[in-house]
Amino acid sequence: MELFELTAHQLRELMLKKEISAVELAENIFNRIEAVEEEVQAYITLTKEKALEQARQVDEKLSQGEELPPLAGIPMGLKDNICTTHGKTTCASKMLRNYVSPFDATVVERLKAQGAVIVGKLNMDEFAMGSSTETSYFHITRNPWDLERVPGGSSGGPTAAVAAGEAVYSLGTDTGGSIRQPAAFCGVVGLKPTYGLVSRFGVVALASSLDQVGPITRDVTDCALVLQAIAGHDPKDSLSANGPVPDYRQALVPEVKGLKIGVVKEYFNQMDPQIEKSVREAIAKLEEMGALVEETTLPHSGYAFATYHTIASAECSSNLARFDGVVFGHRSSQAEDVATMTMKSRGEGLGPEVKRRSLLGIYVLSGDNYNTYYLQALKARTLIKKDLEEAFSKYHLLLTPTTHSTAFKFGDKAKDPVAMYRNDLYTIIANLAGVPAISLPCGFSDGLPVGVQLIAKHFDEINLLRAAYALEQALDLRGPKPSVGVK
Amino acid sequence: MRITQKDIENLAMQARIELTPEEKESFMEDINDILDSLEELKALETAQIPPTVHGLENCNVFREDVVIPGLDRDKAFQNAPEHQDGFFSVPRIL
Repeated sequence: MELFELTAHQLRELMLKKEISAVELAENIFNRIEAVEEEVQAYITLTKEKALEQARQVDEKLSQGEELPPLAGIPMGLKDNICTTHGKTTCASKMLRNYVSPFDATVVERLKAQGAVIVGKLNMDEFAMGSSTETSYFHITRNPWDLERVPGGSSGGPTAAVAAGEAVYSLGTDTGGSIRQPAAFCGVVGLKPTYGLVSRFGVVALASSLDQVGPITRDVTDCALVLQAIAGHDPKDSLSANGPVPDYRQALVPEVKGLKIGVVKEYFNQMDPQIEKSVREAIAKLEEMGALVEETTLPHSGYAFATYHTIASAECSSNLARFDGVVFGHRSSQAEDVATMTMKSRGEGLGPEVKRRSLLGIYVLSGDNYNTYYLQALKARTLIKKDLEEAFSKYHLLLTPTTHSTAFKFGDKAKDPVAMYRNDLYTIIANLAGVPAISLPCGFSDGLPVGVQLIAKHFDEINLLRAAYALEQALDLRGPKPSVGVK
Repeated sequence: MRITQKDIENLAMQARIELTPEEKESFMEDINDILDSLEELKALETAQIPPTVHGLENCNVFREDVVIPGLDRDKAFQNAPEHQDGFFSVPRIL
């Protein structure tokens, strides 16, 4: 095994045993980036000098015998909508192509306090709008398992980097599936925590009632470690939950006996038979280990798509109103007065998907449409949330496939917004209800990774991680590797 | 109800986004397709259902009224397209 293939907890062991230094590890990752980045194109910005400086500090502490936090010295990457004072934060948009944040996001502060080594900023769909990372202003990102295919999105850079060995872990954001869908496509673990568990301060907002930051990792153990580092109340995010944060490591036991799991029957329609096979095998493993598995139903799940897209576009149109060319971001050189400055700056600075969703958002909020679309969606959201509450009165967890297809080819869905939006079909309910959900690899279909999704009730990340850990141990998918760099 | 090119122009004006003629054409088609996919929502009986605005129960979160340092002025200007004498500057307003 190469260093860049190892997990954070394995690398930490090597570091504590003085078999590698943090600087050696960082250099190893940058060498890997040099070898494969031309093909994968996961990063928008690399911050090598700063990363090596952070690694040197960790080595110094190590040599002085200081106790190191779990993620100290581990090279990681951040989705480029997470603000850092070092390097740009572009949101993969022309609008913010030169933007350097005056502050760090709270999650970045917390990782820095752990001694994290930040390798760079990762590609994404523009302003996190998309499911393929094709809407990035800068470039596409390729799926390390098959370079002809998309990595998924919107966190395509963060998942591709972890799959390709260009970062040990990364942080992404998930508004409707933007961590879990690309995690499934790239064969890595992706968690969307409970709404409010992780601070969104310093994370550029897409849809504020749905957005959450979460870890993308090589295994469930790393997922628990990263969640531990970033979770917890932050007064700078007013919807941040003010409760205790449990020790997520207690979830890392291969023990699911007595755990009740509901398999959502609506989410097995119209699906790739190979995906269904892999997911059914995962279900069988959980049953073998003593979990009580039953088929269940979410009666309003059929409305989730329309509910989500109405709410998400409405919130996006409001959040993105701030990009007006006055205080930051692109300003048109053609402006004659303030009104044309705003019109032209936004016309030039925003990409087609962002414009499309902004127009849609304004449409569903205007006049009578407010009642027929937006308010109706908020009410449907209540029904969807109730369905989940009902389900969680019977089950600890729900199980679904993460996606209905594996990674698709570039351009396959780029011209059909509705087909692209349907990528999030199985993931959006967790965002609408604010509950946590994880995607983890459960097999392959024609050589491409398949993901299974587990969903838990609010703040029950412990059971979520426990079942995911048990399943990961039982499935043991360590055989196949991404094809990138294998020459 | 299909939205028209004129509707798109109105929305673009409200969104303060200048669109090219090609964009107007393609967004009209796309948004009509998307609106078709939202139609199913209208059939849902919701008269007695209260709206949900976000996933958690907390609302009206307050903090102690204590002064904390704000963003340093130089930092606030570091991304400004133009600024002068401690103000953001813009082209003429009237």
